[in-house]
Amino acid sequence: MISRERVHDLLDHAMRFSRADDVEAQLSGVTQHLTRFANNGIHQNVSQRTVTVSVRVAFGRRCGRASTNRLNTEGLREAVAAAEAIARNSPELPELEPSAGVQTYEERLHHDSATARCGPDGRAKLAGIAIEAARAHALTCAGFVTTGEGVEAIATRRGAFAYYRLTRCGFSTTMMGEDASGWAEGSESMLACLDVRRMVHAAVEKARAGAKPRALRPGRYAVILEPSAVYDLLLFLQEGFGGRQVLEQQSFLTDRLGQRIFGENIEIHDDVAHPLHDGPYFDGEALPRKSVHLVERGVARALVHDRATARAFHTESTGHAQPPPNPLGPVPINLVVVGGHTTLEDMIRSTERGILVTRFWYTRLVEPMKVVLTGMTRDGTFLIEDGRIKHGVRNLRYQQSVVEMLNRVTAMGPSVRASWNENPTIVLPPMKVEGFRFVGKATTG
Amino acid sequence: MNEIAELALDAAVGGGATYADVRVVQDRREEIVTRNGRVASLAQQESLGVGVRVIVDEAWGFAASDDLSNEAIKATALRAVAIARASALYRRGPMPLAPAEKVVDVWAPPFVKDPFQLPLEYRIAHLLAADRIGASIKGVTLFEGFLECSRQSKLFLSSIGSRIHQDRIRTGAGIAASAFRNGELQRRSWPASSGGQFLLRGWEMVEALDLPGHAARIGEEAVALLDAPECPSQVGDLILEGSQLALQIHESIGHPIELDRVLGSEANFAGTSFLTIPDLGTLRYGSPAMNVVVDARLEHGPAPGTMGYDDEGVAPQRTEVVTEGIFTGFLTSRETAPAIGQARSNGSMRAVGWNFAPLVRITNLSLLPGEGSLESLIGDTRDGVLMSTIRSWSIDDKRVNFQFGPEIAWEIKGGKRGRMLKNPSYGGNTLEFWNSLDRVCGPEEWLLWGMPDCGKGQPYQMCEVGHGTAPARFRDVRIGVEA
Repeated sequence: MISRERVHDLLDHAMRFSRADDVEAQLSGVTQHLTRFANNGIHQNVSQRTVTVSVRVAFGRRCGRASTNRLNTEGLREAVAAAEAIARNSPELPELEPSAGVQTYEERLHHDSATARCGPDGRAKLAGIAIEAARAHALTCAGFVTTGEGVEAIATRRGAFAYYRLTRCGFSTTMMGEDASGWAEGSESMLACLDVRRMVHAAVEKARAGAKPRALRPGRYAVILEPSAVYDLLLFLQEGFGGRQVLEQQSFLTDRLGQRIFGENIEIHDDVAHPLHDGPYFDGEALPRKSVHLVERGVARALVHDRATARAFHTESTGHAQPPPNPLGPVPINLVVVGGHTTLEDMIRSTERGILVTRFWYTRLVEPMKVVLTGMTRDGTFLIEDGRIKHGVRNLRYQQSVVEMLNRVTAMGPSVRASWNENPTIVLPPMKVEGFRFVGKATTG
Repeated sequence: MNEIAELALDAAVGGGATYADVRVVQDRREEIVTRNGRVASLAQQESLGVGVRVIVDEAWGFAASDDLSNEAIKATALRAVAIARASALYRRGPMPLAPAEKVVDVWAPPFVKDPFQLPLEYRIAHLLAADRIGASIKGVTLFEGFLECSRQSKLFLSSIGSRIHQDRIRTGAGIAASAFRNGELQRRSWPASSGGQFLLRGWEMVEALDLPGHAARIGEEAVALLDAPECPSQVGDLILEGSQLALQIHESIGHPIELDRVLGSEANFAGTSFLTIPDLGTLRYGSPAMNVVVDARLEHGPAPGTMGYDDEGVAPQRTEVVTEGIFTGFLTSRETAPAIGQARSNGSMRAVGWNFAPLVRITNLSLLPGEGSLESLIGDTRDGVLMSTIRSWSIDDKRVNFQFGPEIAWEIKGGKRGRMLKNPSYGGNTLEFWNSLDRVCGPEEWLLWGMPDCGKGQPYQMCEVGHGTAPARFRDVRIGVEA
């Protein structure tokens, strides 16, 4: 992947083409390889490499942005010219700030050369662990193995420069039996930390344990949500912690900052330095990302800001800007939900009657102010009775306010890293929740 | 583009591929977003790269790069070959491909006004004109405008000798009004949500939308929704207008008929399908009023699913998917068509850019019109609800159990449109729902909707599709949430 020195030279080269009052340039590069398997065989196997430079220029308070992946002189010059043409023909932006000057960063890298070097044979071997397990247990498996590298960098004419490199690897598998399935997924920045065998085993065991699932009547149940299920719900809180969303009255925190909105056992931070997180230590305005204590003892304590929303709130940027100008505004991308000490097994043992949920599927927002979501359970849903898993359950549809749910959390386990597909990672715990609302059940097609 | 493609193809075949195809794609896009009188975002993006797909040892490999030096192009092709060899370590079995014809062609759908030739300030001013009207409505707390113009040039070469150049423009536009009061937020969009309407047309499609002409209405409706009664839960007649019905078609017909999904290829992500191969020609998908086609030819209209050739070099054909309620067609590819005994693919393989491998995708999937106007359909409905404009949607991983929540509804009593209703939703089972269809409005109400955001695949690809619909009525539908 492209080195720090080369990136610095490239961005400097791009900025020199502009005669604007202010210039900044960003680089984003990714190499991603993904080996996909289904029906106990590899069926899709892909690799891509792309590097893009984005230039933002400003004439006074008129700004324009253009990006290109043609990184030769001609491509960069044309991108700068396009950005300048946009700026000259755009209305003024009253909230436009000058680009950042020299900054002090706590630099971090999450790059592992062994992960970067993993080739198609290595990924096939990891896929083979799932495929062979499926064959051994008369199941059908699907899933993927992915490895890759990324680079993010930003430079301003006023002297800021930041560079970040990471590697990323991931594994996911669905194990399918005749009438039940199990699933597991995980991502890390180092291949050595990706426990494929554990995930394969977990998915196989869920598929087997869920055989001959029975229907349950919809209603309110105690639920034990594995981290992936919690993730699917809490992802919908993310944008609401941003200053722009609150200013425009689009957030569940509108008119509620400073109020207790969750249970007292809920603590939420945004913290790029958390050991289970990765990602750039700088934002889209080249400012350092700060740790923000968003929710303290259930009280909505703070928001994340870029410089424009910080000015509106009479505070300072927290370093959460997306590259400006941006309609959504600042977003926390390193959420941490502080967990507890109760193990999943203890949560099950403490449950008289409830449902264990591995994950949700097709979750969508129904109502934004209470963050009411709907979706289905999937790939491992079980009835718990008298402290033990009784049997598999046919999938259920839920409709539940996340705000309300976080007032009914009665137990949490230690926080772990959770992600899904290509969405941001959240560090969060498994949770036991009382009175979770299921509104329908799966029927045959 | 020719030199890049030829170099890649030669390297792939020289490296041992028994089949290879190459796409060189150049994309240019401009997006403008306005919010409450300011330009909240305005950016242009350009991308050029090459993607190489190969078969080696009866297994697929794909590699793509935007490093277009000769050395890098060859390396990309050889990487695809190495990836295919690794795939062969866990090959699923023989991979017969339906044959494809050698094609040499150029395709470019017509348009009238190139949006990129219009001054930028003109495009901005058009959105802000709608914004001035909509944001001035009392009670509107956020007014948004969206405009996207894109141009794509794509060269496809294959080892069977095909050489196809496709060049097209796509334009999309829409507006949305939000009203917030006392902890409640309501929203109205025109002509549709998720950025609006998208067509393979030029600026003339934006003019036809008349964004300023609809701005006041959607602002007033967003505010009125705050005071409207909740849509009651009931089992009754439901009329869905065009864009909402487009989503219904997309989720409960489009995805289940993707043959690769039926065969298990998407099981880890989007799931499988309730359809099986024996259902073809036998399953009663819906009532006799239900006639659905897949048609990505230009004759069907300039929706974003329209193309000259798919990303395997196969020309799209019109496929009858549901004929008088009976299921009659899948979306197929060269690899999947043999599974249903078909001699050729119906041209449904698409990738969203040079850097992704193609998958079986929805192209244009349309419910054919019936008879009569929307007003006549309302007049024929004694007691029901009319719902409009996508807001929330959710369906299970087999595409059976769904729950959708549009932006707005109106009750229908005694054949007349009555009170506005807020927070409507409806749900059900796919086959029961389509078997409850009893009327589809006529050609005068039929519109081709372009949607830019259909997600599928790992890595994730967000693809554009088209759906032709006219408002339609469904009987005895569960309106509201079940329990």
